[in-house]
Amino acid sequence: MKLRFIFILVTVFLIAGTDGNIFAEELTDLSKLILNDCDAGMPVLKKLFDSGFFAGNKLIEYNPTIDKNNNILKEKDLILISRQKKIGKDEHALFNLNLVDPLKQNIIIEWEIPTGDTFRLNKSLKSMTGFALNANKYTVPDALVSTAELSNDIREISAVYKEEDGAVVGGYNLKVHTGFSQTHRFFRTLGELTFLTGLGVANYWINKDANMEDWRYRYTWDDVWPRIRDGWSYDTNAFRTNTLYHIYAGAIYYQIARANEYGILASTAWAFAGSFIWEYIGEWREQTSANDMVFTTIGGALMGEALRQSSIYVTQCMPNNVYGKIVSFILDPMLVINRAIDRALDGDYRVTIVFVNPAAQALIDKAKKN
Amino acid sequence: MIDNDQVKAFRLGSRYDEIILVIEADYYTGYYFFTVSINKNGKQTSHVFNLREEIVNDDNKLRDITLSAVVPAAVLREGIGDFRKAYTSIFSFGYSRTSDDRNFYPAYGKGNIHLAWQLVYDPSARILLPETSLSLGDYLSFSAYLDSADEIHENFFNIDFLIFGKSKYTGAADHGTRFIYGFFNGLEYFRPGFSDSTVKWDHEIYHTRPYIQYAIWRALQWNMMFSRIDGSRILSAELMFGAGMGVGPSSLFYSGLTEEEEKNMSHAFRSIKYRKQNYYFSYTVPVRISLCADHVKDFRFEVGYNYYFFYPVLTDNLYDMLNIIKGSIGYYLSYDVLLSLQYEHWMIKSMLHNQHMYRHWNRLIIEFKNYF
Repeated sequence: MKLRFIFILVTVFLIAGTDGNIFAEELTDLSKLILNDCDAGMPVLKKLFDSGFFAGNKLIEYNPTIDKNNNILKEKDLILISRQKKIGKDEHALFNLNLVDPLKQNIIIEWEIPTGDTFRLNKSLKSMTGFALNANKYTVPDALVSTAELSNDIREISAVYKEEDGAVVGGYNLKVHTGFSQTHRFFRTLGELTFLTGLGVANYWINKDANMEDWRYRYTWDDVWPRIRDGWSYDTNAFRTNTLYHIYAGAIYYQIARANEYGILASTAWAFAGSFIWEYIGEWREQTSANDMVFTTIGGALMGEALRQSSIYVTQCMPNNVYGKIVSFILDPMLVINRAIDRALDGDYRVTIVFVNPAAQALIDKAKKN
Repeated sequence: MIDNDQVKAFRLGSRYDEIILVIEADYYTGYYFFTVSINKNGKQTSHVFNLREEIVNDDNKLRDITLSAVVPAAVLREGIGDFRKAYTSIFSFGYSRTSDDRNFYPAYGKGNIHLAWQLVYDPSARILLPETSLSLGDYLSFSAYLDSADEIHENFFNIDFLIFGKSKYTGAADHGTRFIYGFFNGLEYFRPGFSDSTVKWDHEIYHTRPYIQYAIWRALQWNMMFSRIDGSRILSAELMFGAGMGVGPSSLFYSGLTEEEEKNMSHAFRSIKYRKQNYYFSYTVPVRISLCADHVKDFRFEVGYNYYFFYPVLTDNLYDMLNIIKGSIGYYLSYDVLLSLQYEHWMIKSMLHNQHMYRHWNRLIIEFKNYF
């Protein structure tokens, strides 16, 4: 009973902390985010607004008649405009987010995403709008630093300088990682862990004759309660099975979670979950082994972290050739596999941030009006 | 952290930048000029930023803008260059012989060729502050050892993983004293052979060789590491003691038994059932002490002592003790390549039902170590 309670706690701990509502959190009563679609044929922001994507926040308005040439905003207001862009046969949404920062600089943030890629489009809108709200409240460099610190989504930052004096930053170019939701990572971790445990179970049944001698329970309802009631015991397996095999299995469970961006403690909880699945489902016919639970969970976490650090060391310090990649894969296969999955499922997008000098902007606006 | 009028911030990770900023401000006809000097990973640059007076018209706003805008802009401007790395590693290749008599010296066709690897992840090593708090995973040491199967075919690994602790530093970068201490978790494994066939407890290895095997999880572990840096010369000392549980050790009493004798073994040896392997589940108390003088002229001297006490989880009147005394002398062929000669003396004492058995053996290791 105690064990089941712990398991529930672990599960709750792993699921906890889903993505917050960034719009509700960041908008203040001084800020207003105005949405506008430039092209009637691609009302991407209207669709999202109507679907409740912006969480029904009253400070976010959809305004179809905004003056698109007027980029001079009231202090603290933000305006997000979508434009249609055709690249060959592909249709892209070009987003243009305007704001004024506390230094009274006009800031323009631009990025584009294929309209068919709903996940990345929505993710980029959330990420860049959150970033803009931060920049609106503080400054762009501060927002860059805090966003990079908190999310790890910003993969590259390069500053662009105004040519006239070489000392003034005129903007930034970013490469932003779309990333995955915590729910996505949870189910991916669970899926990978279940798949690998399944391979272990298949191997267990292939070598059934060697394992039968430990069997005490049958697959019947009558044996469920005795199986749970008997609790944990020290097993009689070979030294190598009780040490190396279980430590390595736990290390792989741990590395699956680490590769899916869980921290050290949460990944240790995942190693425990993997060990639990193995002992209570994979080896249902045997009494649960106390030593296996300990060595798979803790031994696995320690070995998993040691091998993970070794793999990172090899990646950073060895030449980036095929040998380095092979060694890195041997040390932490789940990191290499998950990064490959990331690349297959996800794409980075590029963002341009431009600081517009208010005086220069006034001249541009005046010229436009004339 | 504010240290001598400097603001210092740390975020420990596998790759990091070492940034030292000095900001100077001037005022001239309606503008503030900030000169930001940046030393990033040893590379010195400086930039000038200007802000209109009306934007920074009070001290608080000036401070906020300086910290939130000027400093990040200056740092970001440097882009992403070479990072500081938080790792040191040692790759070793050598030859060893083990014997329970004096015939442990090298001999043609005898002995083992071995490979060893050690990785230390220590991102706080460059923080030269009087005191830095370390948290989960801020220090990790991983060493592993694998050899050929000619004689015994030993395998070993050890992991020390920091839970929480402190790093203290006094003095300058090249002449100072560093002290790390805290609670760790650890895992250690030693066993001849990877394969079952060579280590079943009725195998001939028990007749011909002294033998022990163990895998220890150090649930509670206290480490203290001290080092005195004096130019390239480093004097260091380490003390570790802990408590945990283990799979193993084996006992000297249960080697080379007949099937009839198996039936009367201690019940603490769960492993006798079915699998017939000589080990019991144990509570363990390990201790490790080492002293080292490195880069003394071109030499390295090290002495160490490891102690392990094993007591069965399934209680019976038995215990085992392992003592390892070792000493080594090395000569640096270049700054990072060491040729070393190490001698180890292993002693085991097994007790079972008030009877005692002792075995001891010697080992000689000759190896090249390459520091990265």
